[in-house]
Amino acid sequence: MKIQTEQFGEVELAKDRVITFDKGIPGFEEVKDYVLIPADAEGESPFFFLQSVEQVEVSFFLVDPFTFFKDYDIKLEEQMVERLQLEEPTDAIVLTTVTVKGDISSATTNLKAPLVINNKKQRGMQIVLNNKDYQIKQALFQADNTAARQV
Amino acid sequence: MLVLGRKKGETIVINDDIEITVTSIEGDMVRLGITAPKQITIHRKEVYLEIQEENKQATSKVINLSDFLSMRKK
Repeated sequence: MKIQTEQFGEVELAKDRVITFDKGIPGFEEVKDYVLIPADAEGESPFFFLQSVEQVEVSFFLVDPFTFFKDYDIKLEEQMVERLQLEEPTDAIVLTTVTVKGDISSATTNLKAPLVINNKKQRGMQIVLNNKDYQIKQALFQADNTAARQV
Repeated sequence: MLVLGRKKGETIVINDDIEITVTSIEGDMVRLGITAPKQITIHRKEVYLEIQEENKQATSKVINLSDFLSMRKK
């Protein structure tokens, strides 16, 4: 199927790549069907786009939070596991939204409300964690990360 | 808006399948216990509004992808 994307123009993707968020995503409750597109063709980048199938302007910029936050840890409540029809933990993909205001160094990611996708059943939802340590606007590039990259 | 008075330990029932119990009251803080079917999502409103707003800002049109592509998975 052909999909219009915000970032890459028209792309051809298999129909089974469509991920359904049956409650939508907060702020976009009516938009249910998305495809997940890696930011680079080689799959080396920790960044992704979650592109709406129907509305080209609805496209989220996401990151694999574990790349930047090694201790990031989420616990899925039983209710979420059932709703996502998750059978194996390895079927779950966890991604967080990225917000940039101005310079890239100011980028933040929402560790409080990750998107969890069942990669087998193609279902997704955004969950809200109770953990108080996880911020909605967590700086993506912490001082220690920057240092590590420069080595 | 319907306003009901409830004491500690008392419950209200919504639509046969949602129950909200006042579990404790301390000063201006009320703790509520909520029992609801699995498909019902429950959020603290201010957190939910913040997440809605954050999602609206996380759309890809504002980013310059080339800035990010130099970064690799670790």
